[in-house]
Amino acid sequence: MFKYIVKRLALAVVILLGVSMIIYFLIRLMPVDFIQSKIDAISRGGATVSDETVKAMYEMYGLGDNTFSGILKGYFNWLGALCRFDLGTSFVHQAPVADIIVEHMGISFAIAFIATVFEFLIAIPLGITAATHQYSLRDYIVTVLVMIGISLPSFFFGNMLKDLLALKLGWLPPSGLVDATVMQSGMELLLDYVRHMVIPILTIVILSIGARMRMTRTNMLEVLNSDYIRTARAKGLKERVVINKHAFRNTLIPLVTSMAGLLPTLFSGAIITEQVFALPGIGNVALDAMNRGDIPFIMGYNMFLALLSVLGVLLADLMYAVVDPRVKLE
Amino acid sequence: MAVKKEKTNRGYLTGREIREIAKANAKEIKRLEAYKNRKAPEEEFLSELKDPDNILEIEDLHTYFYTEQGVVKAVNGVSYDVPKHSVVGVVGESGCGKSVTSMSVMRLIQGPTGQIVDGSIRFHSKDIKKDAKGKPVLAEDGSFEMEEKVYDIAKMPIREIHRLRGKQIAMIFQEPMTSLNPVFTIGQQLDEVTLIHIPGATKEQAKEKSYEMLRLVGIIPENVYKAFPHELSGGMRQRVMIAMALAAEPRLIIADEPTTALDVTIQAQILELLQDIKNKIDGSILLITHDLGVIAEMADYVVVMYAGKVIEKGTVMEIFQDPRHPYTIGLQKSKPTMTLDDGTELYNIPGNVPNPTNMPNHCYFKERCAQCTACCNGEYPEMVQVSPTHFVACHLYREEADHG
Repeated sequence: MFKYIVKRLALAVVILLGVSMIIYFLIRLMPVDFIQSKIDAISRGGATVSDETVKAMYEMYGLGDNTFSGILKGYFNWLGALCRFDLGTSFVHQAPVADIIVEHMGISFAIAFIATVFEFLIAIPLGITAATHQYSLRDYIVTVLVMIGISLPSFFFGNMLKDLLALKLGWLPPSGLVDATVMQSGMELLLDYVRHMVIPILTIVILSIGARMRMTRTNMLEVLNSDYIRTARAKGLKERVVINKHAFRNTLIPLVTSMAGLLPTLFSGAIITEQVFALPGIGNVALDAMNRGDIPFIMGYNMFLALLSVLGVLLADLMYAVVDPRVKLE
Repeated sequence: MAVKKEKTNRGYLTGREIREIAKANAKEIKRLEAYKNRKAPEEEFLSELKDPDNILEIEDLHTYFYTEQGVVKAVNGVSYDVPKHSVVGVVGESGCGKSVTSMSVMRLIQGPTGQIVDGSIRFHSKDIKKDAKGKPVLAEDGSFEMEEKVYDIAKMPIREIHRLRGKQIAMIFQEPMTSLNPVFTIGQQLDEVTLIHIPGATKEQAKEKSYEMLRLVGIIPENVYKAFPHELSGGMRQRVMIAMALAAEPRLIIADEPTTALDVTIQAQILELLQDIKNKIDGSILLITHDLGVIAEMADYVVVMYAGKVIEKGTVMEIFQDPRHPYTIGLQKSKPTMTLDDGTELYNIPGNVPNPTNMPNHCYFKERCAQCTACCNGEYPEMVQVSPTHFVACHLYREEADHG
C-alpha cells in the first residue's frame, strides 16, 4: 500500500511537469498582452510612452522574447522559482501569487464545500427513493424537478433567486460578502457572511443535485436488479434492510469514485455564480487574471488545480480499495 | 383481465396496439401492486390445506408479466403439491415457467411487470409463536413455543412475506457467481440469517451456527468465514449458498437449477450434498431443473411443465417408466444414452413453443405432437387421472379415464 502511494506520487510529479509545460506555452500564445493593455491605459491618460520604455517593460516582466527559445527560457525561470517554493508575483495585484490564492480561496472553498455537503445529503436520498419507486409518481416528480435543475443556466437561475429572495421579498442581501454600511465584528460578522452566502449556495446546490441524483438512481436500479439483492430478499431481510444495507453499500462504490473529481472543484471557485453575486472568490479573480494576461497568477492557479486533480484521482483509487473488497492496490 | 390482442399475422404491433397494451397493463399493474402493498390482518391470508400431509399446495396459480408486447402468461394455471419429507422435481424446457412458479412461492417476482394474478399457494408453516408485540412466547421449559399455521402466500401482503422467507422456505439459486453480495464477507452474509431468524441470537451464536453450516456443506469454516465471495470458486459459492439456505433450518428448500452454472464434476458433488442434506433435514425439497438425470436420482415426485402449464405429474417411477403425455415421452426419447448406435441421430421434439403473448386456445403442444387427433383442436385438455398419483393433461387419455 505504502509502495503504491509512493509510486503514484512519483508519477504525479511527472504529470504535473507536463501539465505546467503545456499551460505555460498556451498562456504565452494567448492573444492578451498585459504590457500592451498597461501602455494603452497610460496613453489614454494623455502621456506618451517611448519605444525604449515599452521594450524595457517587456524585459522587466520577462515577456520580451516571444520565440520558442524565449518562451522555453521563461518556462524554466518559472520552474526554477517554483523549486524554491516561489509562485512569482502577480502582474495585476503586484503581490505574491500564493498570497492572493490563499486570500480568495477561503470564500470559494466555504461555498463549494457547504454546497457539496448539501448536494450529497439531498441527492442521494432522492436518488434512492426514485430508484426504489421506479416509474411511480414519486419517481417522475423527482426526475422532472432535477432535470429542470440540470437544464437551468446558473447566471439565469442565480439572478432569478436573487430577484425573488433578495429584491422582491427582501429576506437576504442580494450580493457581496459583507454589509459595508455597518461596522460588525465577531459573531455578528459571521452571521452576516452566512446571510450573504445563502443564495449563492442555494443556486449551486439546486443546479448540481440533478446529476448526482441521476447517478445514484441509475446505480441503485442496477444494484436492485442484481442477483445478490434477490438473495438478500430470499433470506427474509426486510425491504428496508435490503435497500439500506445490501444495496446501498454497492451503490456507494461508484459514488465514492465520483468524489475524486470534486477535490479540484472545491477549490476552483464557481466563476459564473461568483460573478452573479459579486463575491470576491477565487473564480472571479482567476477570470480577471485570464482577461488581463496575468501569467504568474494563471500559472499558479492552474498548477494548484492540477495538483488537486492528481491527488483527487489518487484519493479515489485509495477509497475504491476501501469500499470495494474486490479491488486490490498493487 | 388480459389484454385482448387482435390476431394478426403482421408480425409487428401498430402504435395504436402498443398504446392499448400499455394502457391496459398500467391499469392491471396498479390494481395488483395496490393488492400486494396493502395492509391486511392475518386472518385474510390464513388458509387450510387440502391434504394435511402436504407442506406446499400450489393451486391454479397464474403469474403474468405485463410487457410492452402484451401479457406473457408465464405461469398459467399451475397446480401441484409438495408432500412432507419428499423431493419434488419440476422439469421442463427453458421458459416453461418452472422458475417463475418457484419465484412466486418466494414472492420474488420482479414487479411491477411481473405479478401473481390469481390462484393460491398454501404453505404449512411451523414457526416460533409470537405475541402481539412480536416477542417470542416461551414454553415452560424455556424453549420457544411453536405454532402451526397455513398461509396463503399468494394472498399475503408483501410486507408480511419476510416471516416465511429464509426461515420457513429457503431458496438456492441458479447463479452462484452473482448471488452473493460482493462487499460483505461470507461470514457476515451467513450470520445474518441466524441473526434475523432466531430471536435473541448473539453474534457469537450466529458465528457458531455459520461454522456448523459450513462444515455441513463440506467447507473448512476457518478458511472461508472471513473471505469475500470473489475469493471463492463457483462450486464453493454454491456450497455457501446452500449453507445459507440451511442456516435457519427451513421446512422447504427450493433449489432452482442449483447445478446448471457449475461444471460436471462439481455438479455431482453438489447433488450428493443435496442428497445428504435431504436425509439430514426434516423438510422437503422442491428441485427445479431441466436435467432428467438429476430428477431420476433425487426426486420422489415429478412435475412436467410446458408453456406455463403442468402437463403431467406423478411419482418418479410413473414418469420415467410409464410416461403418458407425448411431450414427456419426447423428452425421455431425447435423452442421450450410452447404448445409442454410432451415427444414429439423437431424437428431438420438432417445432417450437408457441408465442408466449399469443397462446392458442387448444393444447399448446398440438403443433409439435405426433399423436395429435381431431379433438386436439378443441379446448385445452383437462387433467386426467391415470393412477392415484399420476395425472396427465392430454386428450388421448380422456376416454380411458371416462371408461375406467
